Amino acid sequence: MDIILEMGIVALMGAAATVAGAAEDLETDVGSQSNPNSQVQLAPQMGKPHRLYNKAISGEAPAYGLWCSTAGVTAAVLLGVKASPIVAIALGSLVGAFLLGMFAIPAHLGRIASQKRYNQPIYLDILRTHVFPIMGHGYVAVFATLVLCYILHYMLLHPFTLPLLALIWGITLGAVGSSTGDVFYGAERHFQQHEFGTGLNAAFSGDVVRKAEAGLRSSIDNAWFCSKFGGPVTGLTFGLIVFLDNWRTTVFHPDLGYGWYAVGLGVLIVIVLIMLNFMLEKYARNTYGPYKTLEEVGEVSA
Amino acid sequence: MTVAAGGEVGEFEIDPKRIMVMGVVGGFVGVYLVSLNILLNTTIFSFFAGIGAIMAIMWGADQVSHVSKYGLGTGVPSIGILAIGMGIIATLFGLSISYKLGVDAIGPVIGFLTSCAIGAVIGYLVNRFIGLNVPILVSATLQIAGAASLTLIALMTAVSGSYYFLDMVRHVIDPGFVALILITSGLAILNPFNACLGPDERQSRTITLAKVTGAIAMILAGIAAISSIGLISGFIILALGIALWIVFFMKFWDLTKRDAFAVWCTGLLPEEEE
Repeated sequence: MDIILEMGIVALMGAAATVAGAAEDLETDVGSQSNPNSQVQLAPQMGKPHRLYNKAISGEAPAYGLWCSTAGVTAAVLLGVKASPIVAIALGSLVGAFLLGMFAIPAHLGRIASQKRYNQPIYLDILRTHVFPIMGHGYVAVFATLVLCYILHYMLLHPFTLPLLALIWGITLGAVGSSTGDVFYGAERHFQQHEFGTGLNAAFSGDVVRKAEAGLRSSIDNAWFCSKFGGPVTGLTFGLIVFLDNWRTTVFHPDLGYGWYAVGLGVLIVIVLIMLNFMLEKYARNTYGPYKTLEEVGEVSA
Repeated sequence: MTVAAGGEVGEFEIDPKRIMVMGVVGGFVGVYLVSLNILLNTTIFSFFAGIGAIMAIMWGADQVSHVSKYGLGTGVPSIGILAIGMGIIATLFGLSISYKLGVDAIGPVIGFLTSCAIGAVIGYLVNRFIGLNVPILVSATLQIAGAASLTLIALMTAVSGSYYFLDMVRHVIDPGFVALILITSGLAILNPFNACLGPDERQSRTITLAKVTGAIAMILAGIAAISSIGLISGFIILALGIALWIVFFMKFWDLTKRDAFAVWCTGLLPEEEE
């Protein structure tokens, strides 16, 4: 394939991955999945019943592996009977989104029902209003991931089958969403009543924000907050992973005998990223000051 | 963590041994009833394996709930992923070795026993060298590995319409459906306890949720089976899975209402506890 055309395809994959990452992060924010969920889980125990969605399906990575591989299998079945790729991918993603809903509802009901002794009721309006945004964001994430896998298998002729690629990229997507997006949803949003930079002291466990700008906070408010930065930055991370990973094999194509150069370029990219991270952290520490020890601060204010 | 992982350790509404017997017998009966396919030269009896998978998933989920109550310092999902990791290798080993020896019919049994053995060794090593000292760990990892292996065998049998190694390779592994079966089995086993985690978790509700996730696994196997063993046979698995899902979910909803503090249509926060 012409290198210009292949570069365009790789860019398209990066764009699809960016959309997938952003949607995935926002879905897990509406559903309160993954790491910050342990704080939502702890809140009633600390005497703070809430109106947040408490969804524990598993880690984001296995969960997205399941939604994406389900969509991949459905799409592969439809492609097997000569359905158009757009229809196959769209219907496959629909099945993936329904599956997400089928897991999300009992996950919320089960966790809340197991907190009887802390007087945490099940609010049915929370269930009704949150499940559809969860499925909607999940649909976008799965659709974009499947587009990426379709391109990889049918255009770049990757030897793995569509369901297998969907599983691998689904797990990657979930892992990126879990590692990048959770910081903004957890520390920045759940604990915004605490002084910035005080860290998450064990005494704050379960002390999540339960009241909104007006009324009581729901998890949809959290998605609104995270869509400003956490979601897009997750998308950027996943997009960069997909783009850079495929870009190096486009520049040094393994079919032309440049496979080891591609590996070398991969190592170089990792080294550059480590250096950039180091410089960023150094800049942030110098600009915003070093973390103070207890003696320097005198007493903890929060 | 101050939160208790689940209800009290050692208290059972349903005897785990009974669930184990149901899981093993139900799983194998489900898998071997698919022999009707070979006898009658058809594929419509594949749904029996789907029902067998639900029984095995119940067993695995019950064991996950017992071992997780000890607070292993790991998330519940890790145990589910460990289970399918132990299960898939042993299952494929059992099926392929029986194919090589020309005794395909006992492949599922060899896979199951190998998986149990691997589970027991892993449980022993963890208890002995990492020093977790969880009294039920060896028996739990043995049973979780066995349940995972049986679930994988049953779902692969449902998709391929036979428990012969070559059929599975052609219908499950080559098209990549094994990816879905692997992750579905894992989530179906780990999700029930993970989703019901909390101090007021009750075994009957967790087991019912295992049936719900088992029915979902059957639905997914049905979708894959449409492509591998034909429209009608696949559709039977799919339709039966959806019907079972509705029945089990309604049961789960009843148990949720039984166990919850309150079910409100909407409302403000309840009075805070001092």
